[in-house]
Amino acid sequence: MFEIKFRIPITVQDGNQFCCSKFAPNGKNIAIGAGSHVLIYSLEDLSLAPVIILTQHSKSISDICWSPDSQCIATASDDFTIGIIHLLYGPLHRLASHTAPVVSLAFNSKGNLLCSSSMDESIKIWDVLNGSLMRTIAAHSESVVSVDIPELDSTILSSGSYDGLIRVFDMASGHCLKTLTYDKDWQSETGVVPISQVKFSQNARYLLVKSLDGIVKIWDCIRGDVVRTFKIEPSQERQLQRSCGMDFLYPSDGSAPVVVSGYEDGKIYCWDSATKKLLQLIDGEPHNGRPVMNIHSHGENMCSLSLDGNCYIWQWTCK
Amino acid sequence: MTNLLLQDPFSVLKEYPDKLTHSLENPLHTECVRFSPRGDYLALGCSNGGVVIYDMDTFRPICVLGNKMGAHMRSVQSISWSPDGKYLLTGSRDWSVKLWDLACASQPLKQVHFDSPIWNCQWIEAAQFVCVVTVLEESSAFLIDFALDQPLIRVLHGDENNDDHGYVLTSAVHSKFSDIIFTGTSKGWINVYQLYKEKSKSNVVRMLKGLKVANGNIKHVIVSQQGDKIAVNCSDRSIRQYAFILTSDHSSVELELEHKYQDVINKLQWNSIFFSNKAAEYLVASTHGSSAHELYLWETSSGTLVRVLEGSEEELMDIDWNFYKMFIASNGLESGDVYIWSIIIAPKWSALAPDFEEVEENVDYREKEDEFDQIDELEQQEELNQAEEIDIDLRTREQFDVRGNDLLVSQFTIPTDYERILTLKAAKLSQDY
Repeated sequence: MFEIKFRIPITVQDGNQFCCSKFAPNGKNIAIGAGSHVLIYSLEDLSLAPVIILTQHSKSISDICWSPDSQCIATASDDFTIGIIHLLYGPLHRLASHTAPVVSLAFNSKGNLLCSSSMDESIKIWDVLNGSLMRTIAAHSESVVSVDIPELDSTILSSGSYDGLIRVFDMASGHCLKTLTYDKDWQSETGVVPISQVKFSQNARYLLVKSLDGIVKIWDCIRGDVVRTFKIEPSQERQLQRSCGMDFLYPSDGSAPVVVSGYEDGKIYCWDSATKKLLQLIDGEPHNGRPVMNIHSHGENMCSLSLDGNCYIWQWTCK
Repeated sequence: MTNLLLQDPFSVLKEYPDKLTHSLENPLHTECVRFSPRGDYLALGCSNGGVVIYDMDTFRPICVLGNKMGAHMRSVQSISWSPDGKYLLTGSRDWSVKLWDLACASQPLKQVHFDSPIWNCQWIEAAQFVCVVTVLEESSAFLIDFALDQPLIRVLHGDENNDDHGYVLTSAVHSKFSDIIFTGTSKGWINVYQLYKEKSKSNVVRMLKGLKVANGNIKHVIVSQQGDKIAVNCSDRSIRQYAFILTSDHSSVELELEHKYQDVINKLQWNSIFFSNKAAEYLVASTHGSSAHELYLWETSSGTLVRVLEGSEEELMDIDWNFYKMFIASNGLESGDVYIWSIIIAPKWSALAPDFEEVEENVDYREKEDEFDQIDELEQQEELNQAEEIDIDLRTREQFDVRGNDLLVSQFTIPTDYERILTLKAAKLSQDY
């Protein structure tokens, strides 16, 4: 069960929308995108005022990614650029090449490559050392809204797009290795369901995929079939407006990982990945019906962020 | 290495690289090359004493050892990575062997000086910081124990009889049993030593075997990954391959000659040799002399030449082969650049559209029996539901990749040099103005 550990005291300024909160890989900090800048809170002492990082972005930030050494953050912005900022040394690079808002970022495990995806339908791979563009992958026919690289196996990259396709690429060559899709999805009357987020399992064999109809699936990337489907009740026929967050959480007792998924109405669902049983439904408090934009877990901690800037850290305890 | 599971298995399981895919221009003139154990990095030993580490994702230099102080002053002859990829050993013609910690590569961690240039240095037991070194015009190899504050140097000397073996030129450590050490001498002797612990806890050396294999200099001794084959590169223009038979208590050793590789037409010497992985089914060698610009690859079971790796326009010197990435790297004599051969895996277009199939040639379309059958939706749903019943394991990683390499060996990541990024950025800014 999740219990609220604490609430992050964000002072909400007018007009700022919040869509991204990420734990640092070392677990010491959390970065929250607030408009066009980033707030870094220390998890060791939340009474400290946040470090405010002013970026060079002219529009709001849609995704943040920490470098694996926890020293840098990369920010993806609606102004078509990506910033890489060192927490002590300041801005390192401003990467410009996308021709539409950049929506998702992922570092590889060595921290030498950064992968970005954009509404210009492309995925780009950047050399972090000198900020040069190494490769552009054009393999989708709609906005690519999510990219992920497994933490322990940086040889592959997955992407999810509004064209309804989930693709797996080879990092070294940029070739598409696999496309995950249902033939059935293509036949449905409403057409394909846009994908909103992809996330690899720890061993890089399975992929957690959320689509805009709110359904979460676990795909076997090697065999290419769905091995788990998690549906919300009552089923939402309409497509949601926003892509709300989701993540895996790995309990320390070694039990089956928990699938955590947030929704537009402020609810957070937690399922057992082995049995598909609903373990917990967080309803009403604390997000009060505001869309849960981001879910991110680190160890047994999970943070949830709603659009209005309410951010909570939750602690998972096994029953 | 999940990517290997999704690629064309016939390409992935090719046993050796066959296409020149990268060349690294190195203005410092490369003298020797060594991949990090997982193939993430390539260390280049340079003629001015520099050691430059290239990242194998971006193929760009990321790190220069000793950029603050303590770099070698003369040509680097030999490099050895510790199995975890964190410590590097370098031997140079400036008469010193240096130990580097890559977490802090701006200066050496420790160093040892000898009385003449270093031929070769290699880890024996990196966890205990013990290595073996061969030095110019010395009749024995040396063991260095870097674990102590003041590194301890001992002579690798067994109970040799009084035969004159000449100078020790090269050394090798058995790939499975790190207590077995080989040396090769200027008079064609291969000596096999065993290190063992006595009650006094210090390492004691015992000579297991001495064998005169040729009359010339022994330039290289290499051991296969499984440890049952060795190959000896000798200045008499031939490479000899032996079966290495070790009793289980490591008390005695047999060497049986299996093959002799020679360039029968040009009678060339070999600059360097390397075995392929696991059972060492292949042997690759670079040729001496300006007429040949290729690497030769033989099958070790039959001794036949199976492949010539082409592409470089100059004589090739040192060779290293990484089995995780399936890269062969070799440095050119004249330009000092490094050439990398790898396996090219063709893109699979059917991966983009899963309901298409790639065929080699045109196939006449024939309707299958059930192709347009009405599928019962309930039945289909039942099938999908069944797929969701199987157990899934989201945590456990595979231990071996499809090529048989161990994936759970932890590997050190060289820290990003942020100061260098800022310096480069500042330099670029001032250039723009």
